[in-house]
Amino acid sequence: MKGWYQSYIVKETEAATLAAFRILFGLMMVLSLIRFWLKGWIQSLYIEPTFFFSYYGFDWVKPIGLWTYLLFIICGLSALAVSIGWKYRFSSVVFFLSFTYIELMDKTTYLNHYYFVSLMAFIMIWLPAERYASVDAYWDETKRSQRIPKWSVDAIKLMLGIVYFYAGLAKLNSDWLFHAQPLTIWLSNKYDTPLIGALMSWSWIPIVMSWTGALYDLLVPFMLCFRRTRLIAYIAVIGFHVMTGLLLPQIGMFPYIMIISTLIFFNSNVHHQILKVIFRCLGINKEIFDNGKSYLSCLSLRSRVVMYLLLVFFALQIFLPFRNLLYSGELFWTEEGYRFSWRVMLMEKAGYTTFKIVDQNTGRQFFAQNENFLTPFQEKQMSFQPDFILEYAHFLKTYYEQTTDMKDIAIYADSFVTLNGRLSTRYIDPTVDLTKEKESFKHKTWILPFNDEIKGL
Amino acid sequence: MKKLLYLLILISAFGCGDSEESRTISEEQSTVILTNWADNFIIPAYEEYLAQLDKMEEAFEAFNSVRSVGNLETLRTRWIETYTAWQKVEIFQIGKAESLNFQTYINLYPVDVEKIEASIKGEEYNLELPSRRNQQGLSAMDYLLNGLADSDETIVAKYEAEEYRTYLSDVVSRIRNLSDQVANDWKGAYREEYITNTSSSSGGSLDKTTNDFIFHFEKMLRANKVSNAAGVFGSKDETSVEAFYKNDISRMLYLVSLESSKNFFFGNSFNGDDQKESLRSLLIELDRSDLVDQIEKGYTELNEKASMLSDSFSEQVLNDNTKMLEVHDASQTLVRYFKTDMLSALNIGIDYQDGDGD
Repeated sequence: MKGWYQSYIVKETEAATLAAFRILFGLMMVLSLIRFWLKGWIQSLYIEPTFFFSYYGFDWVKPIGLWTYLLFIICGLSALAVSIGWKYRFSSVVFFLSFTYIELMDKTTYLNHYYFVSLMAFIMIWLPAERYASVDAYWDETKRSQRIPKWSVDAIKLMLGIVYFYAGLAKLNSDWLFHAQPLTIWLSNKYDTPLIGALMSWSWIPIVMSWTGALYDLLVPFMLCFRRTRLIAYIAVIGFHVMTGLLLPQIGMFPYIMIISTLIFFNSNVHHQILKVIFRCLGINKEIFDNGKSYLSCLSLRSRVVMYLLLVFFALQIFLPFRNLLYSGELFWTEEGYRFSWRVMLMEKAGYTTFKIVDQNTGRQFFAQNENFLTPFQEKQMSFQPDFILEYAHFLKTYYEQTTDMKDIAIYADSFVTLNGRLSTRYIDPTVDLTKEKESFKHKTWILPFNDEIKGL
Repeated sequence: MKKLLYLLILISAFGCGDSEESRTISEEQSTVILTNWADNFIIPAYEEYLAQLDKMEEAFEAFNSVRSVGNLETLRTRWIETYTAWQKVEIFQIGKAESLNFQTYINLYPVDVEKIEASIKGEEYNLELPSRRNQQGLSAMDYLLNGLADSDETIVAKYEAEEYRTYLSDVVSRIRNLSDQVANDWKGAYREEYITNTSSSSGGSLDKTTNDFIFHFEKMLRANKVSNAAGVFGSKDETSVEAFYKNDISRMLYLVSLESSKNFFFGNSFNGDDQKESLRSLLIELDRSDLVDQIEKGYTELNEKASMLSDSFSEQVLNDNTKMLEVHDASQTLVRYFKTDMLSALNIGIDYQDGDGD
């Protein structure tokens, strides 16, 4: 083990691999942010709402009014700077911070693939991705190196592998494998999907797609690693992501980001070819970067510190998705430990939740009208996620105590949720005054138990 | 690879055994449903509404030239008949109705009596402005025909003054104008556009009509007609009922509206009982008769509760508000089934801003 480790950390690889990844990933980020802006989502998601849902401990992160646009500009420019490798260390830090800040502003918009981008941005801060084919290295010969430690490329591969593999593990449950849910629901009216719409009326489509989806996620990271299976795995990557992109257009840029990112598994010849094409278009001689030099020594202190940091980071990444095991109750129902775990497209869940406001001094009671405080999107997300329900109840208490003469308010949720096609049932204990409950990592006892059983991970 | 293929075949065989029939909606089914909605529900409902509107207009002309208690009473009757027919078209805020914001110009209440009086007394007004929505439509006619004074004689006497006749005339022609635009669109090109828009996305007719149906149930049938007056979202307000000035027809209008909502869900032609293709048949197709049963029970219970209310909802609010609250609670059960289970089963999103999801 020790011998393997010693020989592994001194292994080197072509810097072109990481550089090609940096350029393409950065460009995808720029495009994603422009798309986000053009769709008007900065306005509708971050400017128009009056209330924002915070992650536990991050309630100080809020949209900053019209300055939010500036935040997106900074984020987009830093992504561009990362892509071209200009002041790389600084711009990668700015990109990570600005992107993560945006994601923390309102958890209504939580998406696994945004989380993936944040993690990738974090990893990239520490990697020598600017040593090759970058503005930094072009201008300053001392910052040029053709070879970098192999582990820096492997870190990206490992992150991608974790995303796929855990997404596959999460699919090993009875709803997904045996009831073909939620795909049965999601594919039920896809008759007008381009190319494959006609197939969608076949009854076996959802179950076949469920199983192939699970197998794909579990196997593809390994198949990408081995030379013999790599090409077929990459064809599967393209096929799978294009298919999901067509059928489920709401997943946005994610399929394309994955198709681009997984190129990193190829041999460095491929990346040299990609860079050659790019540099030919730019009219720059790529060969100036091929100086045969190595980046630092793999045994240097700096290199080792970064490696240990990434080891801790990945240890966390490996255990975090299993934290749901610390909670009792059905994960899909309570969602305790659901986020940040690569549980992607697993649930068709919808809720209807209203709040009874009771003035404890006079006994007067009425229902809050959610549309006065939340956008339809926020209301939809709030209605089936306990932490949202609690945070919103606390907001309502503060709001009514400040704007009316009621000074001692109790709040009760009237909440019903449907999960993967089951008839909706009551979700939150209607006798519990939510203003007395506090957010924490402990199990929320006021979530009513799930009436069914979903077997599996 | 070969092994993988065998595995897939095995799985698909297993999958077929699990669910015999395909739980999907086809484009043809969509067309059948949309055609049924258009031809057996929406267009006939508009035809009846327009026919009533014609009669109401005639009655107005008669009253306008000969102002008598008898003519006022006839106009009132015609107004009630039009208001009743309106309940059946109120669900469909799609096409021209959507772009014109039709519903909000016809039936927004409580009406702003002060502004109506000020307009009559000479303040300039333009009924096309959104700010004038609560001063026109069938709901404003309620005030103009029933609320100007205590006795019919005094009301008739008011119309001796030209400005009252002008305002009422303006209100009637505005209703006429808007209604004609919407109904003519349905009679013209829109029907075809409607039934051929089988897109499964949020712009498709099935998606939009289902959203309209739920919006109607939640906002108009539940909140506007019952819950607002009962103080569910704030304080009780007996003036906030439909046709407050006529006062004794709010339950009648409510029940027509409820019946219309129910008929639409069950696919009954707008005055029939024939259960053609609609949301009910669609849910059964998708293997959700459990949900259909719940919704059917919900409608029955709501109907029972609502039938126990007084003819006048404002009296009901003042005398025994608990019965109003019970109707609200019974409505909630259906809102929940519509907004969670039904939308989920139909794979339809609530009309809201888009965004990525995973």
